[in-house]
Amino acid sequence: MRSEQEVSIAVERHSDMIRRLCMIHLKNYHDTQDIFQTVFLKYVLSSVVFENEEHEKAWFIRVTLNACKDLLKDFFHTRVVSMDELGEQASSFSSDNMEVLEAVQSLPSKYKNVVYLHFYEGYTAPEIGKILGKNVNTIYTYLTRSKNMLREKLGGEGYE
Amino acid sequence: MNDLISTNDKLKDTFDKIHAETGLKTETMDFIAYKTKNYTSPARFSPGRAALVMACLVLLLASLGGHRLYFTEAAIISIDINPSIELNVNPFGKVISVTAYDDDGLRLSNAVNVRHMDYMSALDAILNSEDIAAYLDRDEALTISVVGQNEKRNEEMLYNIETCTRSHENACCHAGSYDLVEEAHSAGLSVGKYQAFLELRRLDPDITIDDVKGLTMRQINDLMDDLANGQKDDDAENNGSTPPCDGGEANNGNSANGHGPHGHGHGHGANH
Repeated sequence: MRSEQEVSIAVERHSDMIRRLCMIHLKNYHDTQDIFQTVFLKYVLSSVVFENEEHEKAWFIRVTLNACKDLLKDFFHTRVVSMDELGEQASSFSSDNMEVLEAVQSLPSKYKNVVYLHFYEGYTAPEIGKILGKNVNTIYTYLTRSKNMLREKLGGEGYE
Repeated sequence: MNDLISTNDKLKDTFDKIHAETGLKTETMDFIAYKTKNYTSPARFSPGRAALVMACLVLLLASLGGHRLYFTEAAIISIDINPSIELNVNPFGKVISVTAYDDDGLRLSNAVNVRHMDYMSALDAILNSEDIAAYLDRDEALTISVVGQNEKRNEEMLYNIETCTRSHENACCHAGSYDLVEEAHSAGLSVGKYQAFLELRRLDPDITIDDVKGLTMRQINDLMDDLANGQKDDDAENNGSTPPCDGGEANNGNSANGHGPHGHGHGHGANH
């Protein structure tokens, strides 16, 4: 089992990323709390030895996305929509930010993941394929489709 | 080109503004500390794993002929208020069936599924059910009787049940004789209620089973009090004492020995 210090470092290092993944997948803060608890409990009990920080980060992405997927499989969660997920962060959001977030949230799950990982975290398609366990060509397809969908929702051409 | 840059920037700007709240991080750290007992023991329990272990255990028991043993009744916990139900407990302490002795009991047993739970969890679920809470709120009296063929197990069960019911002021627990089970059931009463009937009949030989069938335990206790007081009027010792099973902590403790004012000798460990 990992030590309190290790967990504390991991919480500081990865919480923002996990929070963002929760933000695009989940509809309420309570679910985010569940995901945080699930992910870090897995971490503290896991005996995986990470080669470096990137390896550790990829592990957290995969575990978080799986935890979100499991939570969303639940009948109740797939049908109840609450918009309190932004919580206290809503005050720092401009209308542009809200528009972008809502556009990303409206994408199918598989597209949300590649949008976040590619456009924000800067992962390449092969790297995303490795993290998500998907064929790299599938990731390219997801990227193309998600760009088109975002273009329809937000307008503009700005996706590299 | 401006559009091209600005849309990417918008995505970055939006995600840049999302941070894990301090409270969220603190709660998570607290949760992990709690689950790992301050990082001293791994929290290995998961419902999935528990279900798997249970399934394997059941399979193993079945393959070894344990099926029969699992469904062997070793003790009965009679729970009486007005709903009268009995939990039939196997040698492993699991509830193998629930028998209702009146309509309220039937409704209760349908509302709370306690089969295959250990008897303490089952009792806890029943006592915390809405039905029972409503009865206790109305100051009804709750009597829990434990009868079994193994004296040592009886004592242990009674001790555990007393601990569980300590917070219920109107609860009264006692052990009884397994010999009464057949008589009680052929009279159509739960063991606990039948014991109360025997005590009533000791005070008034004219009392019949039909007289007590429809009564709640509170009404039976009150009747016992009235009869006992009537007897005691003669020796001027009675001053209108508290009904038998609603004396709160004191009763929980005293009745552990099987002798509330309506105790009748089938006390703690007093299996005949």
